[in-house]
Amino acid sequence: MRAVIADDSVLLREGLARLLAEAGIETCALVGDGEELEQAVAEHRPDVALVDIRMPPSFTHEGAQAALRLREAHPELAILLLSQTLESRYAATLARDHPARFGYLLKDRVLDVATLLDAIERIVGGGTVLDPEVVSHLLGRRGNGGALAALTAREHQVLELMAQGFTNAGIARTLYVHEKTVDSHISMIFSKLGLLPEVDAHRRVLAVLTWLQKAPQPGD
Amino acid sequence: MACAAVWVVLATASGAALVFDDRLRDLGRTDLTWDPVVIAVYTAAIASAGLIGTALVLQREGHPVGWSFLALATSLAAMAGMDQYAREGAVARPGSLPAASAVAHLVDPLFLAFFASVALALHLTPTGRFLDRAWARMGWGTIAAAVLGYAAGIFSDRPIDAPYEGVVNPLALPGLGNLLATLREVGAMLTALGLLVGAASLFVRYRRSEGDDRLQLLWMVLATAPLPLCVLVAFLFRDADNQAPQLLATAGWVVVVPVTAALSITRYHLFEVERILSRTFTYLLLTVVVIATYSGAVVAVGYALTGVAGSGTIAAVVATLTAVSVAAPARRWLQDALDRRFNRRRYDALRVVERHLRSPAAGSSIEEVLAEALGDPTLAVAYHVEERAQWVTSDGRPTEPTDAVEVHRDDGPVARVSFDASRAARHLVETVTALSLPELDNARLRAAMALQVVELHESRARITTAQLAERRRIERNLHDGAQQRLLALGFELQAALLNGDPARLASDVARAVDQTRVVLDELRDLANGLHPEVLNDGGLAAALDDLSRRVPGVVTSRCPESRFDPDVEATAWFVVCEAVANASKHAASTIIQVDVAEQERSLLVSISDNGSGGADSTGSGIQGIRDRAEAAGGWMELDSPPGKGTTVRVELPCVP
Repeated sequence: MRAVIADDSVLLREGLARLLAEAGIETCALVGDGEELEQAVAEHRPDVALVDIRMPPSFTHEGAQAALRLREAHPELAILLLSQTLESRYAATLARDHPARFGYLLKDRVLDVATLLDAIERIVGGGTVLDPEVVSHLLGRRGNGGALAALTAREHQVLELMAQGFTNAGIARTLYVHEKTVDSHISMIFSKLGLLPEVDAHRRVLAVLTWLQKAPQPGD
Repeated sequence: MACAAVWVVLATASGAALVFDDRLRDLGRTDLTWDPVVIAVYTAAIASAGLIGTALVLQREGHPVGWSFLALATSLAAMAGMDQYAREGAVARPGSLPAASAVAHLVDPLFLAFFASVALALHLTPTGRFLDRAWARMGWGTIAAAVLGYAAGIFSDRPIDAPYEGVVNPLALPGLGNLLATLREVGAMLTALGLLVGAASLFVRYRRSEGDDRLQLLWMVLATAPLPLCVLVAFLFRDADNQAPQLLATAGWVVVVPVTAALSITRYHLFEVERILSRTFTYLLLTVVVIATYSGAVVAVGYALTGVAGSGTIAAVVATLTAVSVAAPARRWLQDALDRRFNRRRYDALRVVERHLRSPAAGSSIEEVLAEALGDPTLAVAYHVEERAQWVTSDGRPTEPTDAVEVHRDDGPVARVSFDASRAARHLVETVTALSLPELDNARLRAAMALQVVELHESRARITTAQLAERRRIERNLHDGAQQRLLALGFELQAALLNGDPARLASDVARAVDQTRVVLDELRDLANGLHPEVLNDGGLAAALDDLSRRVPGVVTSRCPESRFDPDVEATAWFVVCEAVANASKHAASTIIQVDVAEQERSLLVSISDNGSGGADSTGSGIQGIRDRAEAAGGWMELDSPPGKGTTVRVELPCVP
């Protein structure tokens, strides 16, 4: 697997490259801003791009904007956005609008090599990855009342994993349960939240994120 | 040209009048000569109307009122000349002069021309136009009535006034006698009425005008006021043998009218006219009131004490006391009454201000009261804050008043009142603000306090902004520095772990320790910039030693070892750091000298450098130092001549 890393901090991108190298992922380019990133992707055609959201010159969402342009130009490219700070609403919107081959992780999370490698693997495989912090923040915003209160503890866990972009198999693996059990949890969740069951993983992420981002309604 | 022709007529007619008057005297007919007083008044009237008419026609490009006065002068002169000619030719020596009887009849109704031209002048002053179409119709009607009356008069066969009782009219149209006599009477009545209408027009114009325009019409209005009386006198003495009262009433009045009309038209500066006039009238009337009171009291007391010894003395004492006690209130009352009559706006404005000064309504400022009094909502008062040499609004905001009435006290300006000249007349603003001086002076003190509050707010806002900026700087430092380094460190260690080779692990851990040291230094620097540990432990002296170790260039410091209040130490530290940062960042200094001196009740901090000088005293660095020093109850002084280095001196109050 081949990767491109975009981060304005030289130290950080060197460290990240080193980590990926040890995990057997070849880094074909290290760049410092969005423009360089687009050139590097066009030139090296990597499988995945690890992009810092905040980059020069504006230090706002330069990385995310470059990622959106990359998504247009290279639909087959997996993109993992890395962020120092939690911007859950922005991240959820990005994930909802472009669920395929897209991930958003906090930089702190990257220190856990297994999580990083799992995320890269999932998005390169076509899935979606959303940092658990984002999901729990969105859930927290909905509060504990309404429809969420009707979920069992296990259903709650399954909903979080769904929102993080896990497939049924992934959820089953994480919770150590059979895939059939996950299926039945999911259909319960969908009926409790008043959503139509979705088989397609991307559309399922979209439905869940849309529901989570919606302002809480009385009776939800 | 026309003017010159008029003057030829004037000179000829006046000359003729004097010549024939002289001849009548020679003939021993002193009963037919004119009284010297009448001649003097007549001459004055002709001169006044002629000269002012000419001046107006020439200077105001044929101003209609100028022509009215020239017509007036001509009719007066013609009246005099023709009258004297007819007196000799038709009365003293009948048949000696040609057409003397006809001239006698031509001059008899000539007063109508004089009436008509005065009426026209009253209508047209000062603009040269009638007030509106209705007044214009009345004006032209007056002229028509005069022409009709005059024409009927010269062709009438009725006997005319003395001294021409026996003179037969050679121009008379026989058979029309009754009709012409009636027409003459009607024409004369209507013309006299027209004259009164002209006066009414002037008065209406006066009532409608405002400000300076109104003031400039005042003269003419006052001069016109006795007109109804004049007309009455003229009619009463029409048939009397002695025509002196009639002439005096009419011609004497005619001297004044052109003068006042000219004042109105040329907009002569009359700022003091109103005051002088109203005072003069007030004191004239007051004299009458006091004398009447005195006499009344003398009579009353004398009557009551009839037969009592010394009643005369008692009456005098009582009368004097009564008159004295009446004088002051009567003066106020008369002044008010005159103001109410002649200068309603001034009267109302003064009433509004006086009411406020007597019992200030809660919540209404002197500015609002002045605006209400003068009817100008745009009126604004700026107060002078002497210590700052600055003008401020009542809520303490700096302002630049222009073109305003300034109010003074002995020791300097108090306030400036800006107003809309189209709403309030300047002289009125001056009167009203002068009356408000004590209240304006109070408001000035409040404005000065408000200015301090505004400045306090501004400095507090600057401190808050500076603190926020500082916070952002620290956040950025933490984010870009320590945080990234620690993350990178984490990646390195993870990679080493993943690799698993012991030799590799050892070298990676060694590198990680180095990295940790760098992060530690960075964090320490950051914290030192805020409130260094050394300041807590060793005080200012120790902190300054540490500072000189960390700043590029030579920093020398002198500081007492003693400790001060922690807040004072923190402020002094902030001041030194900012000044040193400015010196090395902006001024390219190579030597910086920091001196801290302990005084009886304060700490004196001074930072001097050998840099480029010319520091901007409003720059954020210097402003920040000043704000911090002032917030701590101290002051800052900046001395930074271009090219000669910079010295910042700060004194902070403290108790050792």
